[in-house]
Amino acid sequence: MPHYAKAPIKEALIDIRVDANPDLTFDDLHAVGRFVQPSYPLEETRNLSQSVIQFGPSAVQATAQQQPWALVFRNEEKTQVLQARLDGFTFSRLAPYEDFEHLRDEARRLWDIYRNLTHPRRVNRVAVRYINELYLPGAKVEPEDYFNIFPQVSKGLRSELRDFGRFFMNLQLHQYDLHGILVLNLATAPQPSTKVGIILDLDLFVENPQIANNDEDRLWEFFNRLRDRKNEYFEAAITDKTREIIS
Amino acid sequence: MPMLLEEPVTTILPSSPENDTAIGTAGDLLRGYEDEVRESVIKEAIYWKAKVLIGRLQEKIRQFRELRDGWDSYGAPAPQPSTIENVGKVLALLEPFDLLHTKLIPSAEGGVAVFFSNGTKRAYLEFQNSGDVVLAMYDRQSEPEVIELTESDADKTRGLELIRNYVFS
Repeated sequence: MPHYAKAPIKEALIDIRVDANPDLTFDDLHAVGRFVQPSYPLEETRNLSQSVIQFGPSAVQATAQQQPWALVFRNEEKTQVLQARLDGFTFSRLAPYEDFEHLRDEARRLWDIYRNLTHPRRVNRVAVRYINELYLPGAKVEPEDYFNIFPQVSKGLRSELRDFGRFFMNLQLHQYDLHGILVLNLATAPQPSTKVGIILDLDLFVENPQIANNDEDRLWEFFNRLRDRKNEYFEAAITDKTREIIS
Repeated sequence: MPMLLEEPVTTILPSSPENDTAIGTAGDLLRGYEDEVRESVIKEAIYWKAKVLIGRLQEKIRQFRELRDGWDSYGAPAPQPSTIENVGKVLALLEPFDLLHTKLIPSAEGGVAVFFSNGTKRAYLEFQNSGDVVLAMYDRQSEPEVIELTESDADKTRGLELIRNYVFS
């Protein structure tokens, strides 16, 4: 894939889900913080809200409970974020994006820390995800000028009946050779501007990857394959007119 | 030819209950599907979480525009359009991680407060209808630190920096 000078990537992430070591507790994740602290000094706990409904003899009581779900570590520039959870690990690079090599190498460095501290039983899901935000000139654009994948409105309708605004398209595309699914989300970006904003989100995941436990080299080679496939879809989804905008 | 039209500031993923008119089983099915898609899209992506959170705050701003004098039943003045506009400018300056800790609260004295909380630390940036801007930072143990600011963009940025340094330190 060519390198785009104005790459529209707003977030690129590598996600690894695991079968956790049953002895691991949320408090144990704080150990990760001690190792990543020099480069990720900002730490916070992300909670999940849970509604609990209790049925008593005379009344039903509903309460909301907060449960710690992830420890989130950020770098000073707030461009790199590590989410450490009991069920896995996500490393995100926010804009400005560098390149896949930086993303992968930093994710691997952090994964090694996470893995050595939490001793997961096995990896049960891996994903590479790229979220792009594209701004197309004009208040009104012809989608097929910029995209090869977009919601089609029948040409049997009169022109004035075919204009559309806000949309969200979610396609789950099977990747038979990888035994995974590429989720392609295409949506309007809610941004005040004189341009049409479009989000192109490519999320490629594989459940139960056929990689032996602790075969780290194979695991990270597999991420290269996921990235190549993601690129294939990105290139196929856009037209030369879009390439001009991001070059 | 179908044309994609420029979108106003709006939300993408949060559902719109006011448009949720289907009451039969097909409606239940679609709502379930919508929830599933929403959950699967947001997942671990910071980008989408921020979009959803900013969408909620923008919806609050829209509601504030509809408030009338006496909205709290005790004679509270409605926020002025210029006050709401200032709050909108603050929203545009928020970073993804600010959004998890941000709420918008109308003031009984007339105005809107952008409220932040993290653990025991609290801060708010209050835009009053009078044009005064007040920043207050406090926790359970200490007296609030109050700083008077102006409506200028520079002070909005400065106020947010002070809040970030206090609330997230």
